[in-house]
Amino acid sequence: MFNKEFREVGKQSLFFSLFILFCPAVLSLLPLMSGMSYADFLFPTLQFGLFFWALFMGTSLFSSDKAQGGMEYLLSLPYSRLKIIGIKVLPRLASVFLFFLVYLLLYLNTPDAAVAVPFFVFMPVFFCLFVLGLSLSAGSDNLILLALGTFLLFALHQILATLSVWGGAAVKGLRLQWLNLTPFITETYDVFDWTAVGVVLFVTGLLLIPFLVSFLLSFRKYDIRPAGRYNRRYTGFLAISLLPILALSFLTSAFFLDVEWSDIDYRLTGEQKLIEATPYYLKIHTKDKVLKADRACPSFFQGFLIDEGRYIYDSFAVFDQNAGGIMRLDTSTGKVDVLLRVSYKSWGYWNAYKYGSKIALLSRDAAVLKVIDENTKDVKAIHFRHGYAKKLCHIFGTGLSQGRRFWLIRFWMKKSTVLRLWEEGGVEEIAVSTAIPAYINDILFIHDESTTKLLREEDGRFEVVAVLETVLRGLWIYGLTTEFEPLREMYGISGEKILRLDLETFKLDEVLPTEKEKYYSVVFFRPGHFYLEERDRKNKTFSVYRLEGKEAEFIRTFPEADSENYLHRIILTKGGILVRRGKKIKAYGFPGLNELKFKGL
Amino acid sequence: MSRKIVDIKDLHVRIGKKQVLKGLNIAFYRGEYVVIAGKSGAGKSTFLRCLSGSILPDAGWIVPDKDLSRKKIGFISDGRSLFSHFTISRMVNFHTRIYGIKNFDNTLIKELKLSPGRKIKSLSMGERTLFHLTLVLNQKPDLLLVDEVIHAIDPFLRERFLESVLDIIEERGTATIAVNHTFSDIEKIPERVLILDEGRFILDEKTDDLKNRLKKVATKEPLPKNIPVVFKKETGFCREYFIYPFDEKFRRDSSFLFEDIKLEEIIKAFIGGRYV
Repeated sequence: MFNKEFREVGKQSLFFSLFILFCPAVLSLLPLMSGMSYADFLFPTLQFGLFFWALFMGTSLFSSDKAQGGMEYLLSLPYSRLKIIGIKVLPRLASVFLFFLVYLLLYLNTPDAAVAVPFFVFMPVFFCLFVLGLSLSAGSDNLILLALGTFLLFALHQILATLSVWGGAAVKGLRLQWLNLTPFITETYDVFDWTAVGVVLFVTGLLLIPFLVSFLLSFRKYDIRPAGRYNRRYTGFLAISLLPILALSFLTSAFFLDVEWSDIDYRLTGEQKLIEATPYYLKIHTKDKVLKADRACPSFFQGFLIDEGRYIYDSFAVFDQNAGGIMRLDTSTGKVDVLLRVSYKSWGYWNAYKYGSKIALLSRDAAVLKVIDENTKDVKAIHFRHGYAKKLCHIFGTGLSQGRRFWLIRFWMKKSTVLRLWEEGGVEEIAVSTAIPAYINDILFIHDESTTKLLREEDGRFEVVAVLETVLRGLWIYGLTTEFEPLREMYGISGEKILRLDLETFKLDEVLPTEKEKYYSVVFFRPGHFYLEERDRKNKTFSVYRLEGKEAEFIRTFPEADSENYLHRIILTKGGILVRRGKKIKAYGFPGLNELKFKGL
Repeated sequence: MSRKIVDIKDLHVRIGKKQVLKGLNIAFYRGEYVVIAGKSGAGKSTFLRCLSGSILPDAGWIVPDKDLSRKKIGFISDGRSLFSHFTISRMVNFHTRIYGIKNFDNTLIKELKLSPGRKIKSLSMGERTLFHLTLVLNQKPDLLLVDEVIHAIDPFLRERFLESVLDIIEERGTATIAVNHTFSDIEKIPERVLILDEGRFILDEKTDDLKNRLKKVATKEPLPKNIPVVFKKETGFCREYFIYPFDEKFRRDSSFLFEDIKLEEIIKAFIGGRYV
């Protein structure tokens, strides 16, 4: 009997293969489709063809025997019902797997192929249609009815799979849309969590079991009588078996679905609180308590735009609400205030600069500057027209000139073009700097190939007040996104030295010689808090110095610093050092960089 | 009495809303030829299908003799169910493999001059029946189930069919259970007659006993109440009374002429009438 079935399925498979090979050729010859090649049609034809094939292989289990009037003969053969199913299913299963393998090989070897359906959608649909079609195959003689029934079961299956996965995720407090757990996983979103993929595929497979089991159990009593009783028995088994499997799917989802550890971002605030930010929730860890942000999971993307001690300002995006904006987190209470909310379309990478209660945000192309009053949440949009191409831009200072507010921005490519944006909308080009410019104590620092010029604003114009005969790099320092009291000194890197610049006399003093093959950054968070990072990529160490006066005081060296690996790195923040080793996180607080302990970690 | 080949206990089958078999209890024995008769819809074919395995009972048991393998049950359904797209040779090969037949005897096929390349669907009803019988007889069945196929074939083939069946009964002691409507050709064959009516056997007699126990009286006079009439029929001149069970004392105690009747008429009496 195996021979009969293999022969029958083999013949059908051959016809199907010829159709799949022939169909794209015909389509590519159609005048409407001119310009498209055979290969352009092959994958979509193959995908839809295979859906049809899986459906046909499942539903047509007995169609040939019924069409030939051989059902009674078949059922009176000296075989048990299960053996009959086994013999009939095996060749069909082999054919389905064979075609799937062919598809997989083609898919893997044709990375640029135009596919109609992504792989992780195609795969479950393909096998679901086969199994569900199979489970219905004995229920009717009419293939069209069986196909319709299969689609209905498929819809039911997908609803149940979605509900159980979503239910499991909801129990964990995970935001469902972020998990991207639609009935099928698509690769269209950035969030692509392999655990979630595994859970969805597992639940999809698990939920096929009741259909298959119901088929096998009810087929044990299958005979040539009208299918009404058989179908009722099938439905009964299905209803009974679905419940435990549904519960199991739900529990599986609830057990395995979790925040992917790689999705968790940690930041140490200036007040040495640890922020645990995920797409689903935001927690504030201190020594004795864990606070959960009162608003569900806005995501911190940029680190902090502004860290002002108790308040943290950051941009956020909520994909499911098609929105993004700027929020303020009160780290003492967990309260989140949305200061600006814009549609996702107009949301971009924003830099923010805070002065007083005002926060200035620049759109990606520097065409719009928004000034938000954090107390009133009033937003003032200032539009600019300039001829600069859309490049990365950044606000690096603000000031008043004859009572008029201006912002200094730089377009950041190989060189920095410094522009001044006036509150009333005017744009003025100030300078071009070969290194990153800075604006400190109302002094604009710009660089050329050999010098650093210091310019001060007088009568609406920037005039050179001093020229340093060296390029003092590294003035782009953290924390300069908010106003602070005038500084007495600055630190920078020049050649192979760390230099101190007296901001009253503009005199340079050597603080520390640098070594080749080591990378240095001066880090500033607030007046009196200058630090020097020293990264030794060869030995993978990360050392921190405190800069004070003309001295560099070594604080601590951290081993195994791998700057290449985002999830395995050392981050210097306003409050200290964060050391991340995959899932493990440790924090060391300034000034002594002693380890900090947090509740709930 | 020879050994039981299959014992049926409390067999229930429902088709749709109708309870077709209502708790049948009966046994069949090796070597006997049993005819099951009954009105259309009485459940005869359903009963045979239960024995063949193509219908599974809703309740009750079919207990085969421990030596009876399913490969030794031959079934010719009234639909002559085979794979109609197969050719004769492919069907023979298929059947031979499934039933482990080593030396296939195709005498009947040759007699009918059936070409091996012909498709089953191209065969006439008679040819198909004989071909199916050939397949089944090659199984060397211990239990042969034949469902209302004889009436559809011509007299010559019918004779050939019956010959073959009788041969296997004689050769192997095959128990044959046949569902029949016409009895003229098999008048002398069946050893036992069963009549199924509304899902129950209302008659189960050895043929000879039945012929002795059922008599006919044609008279204008009413019969005495002590004579059991199973069926009565009005004719133009008189009434025909079918007496069952007949007792010789009826003949002694009355002046009626009790006539012997043929099997076909007996069956008609039961199928057409009811106990009065």
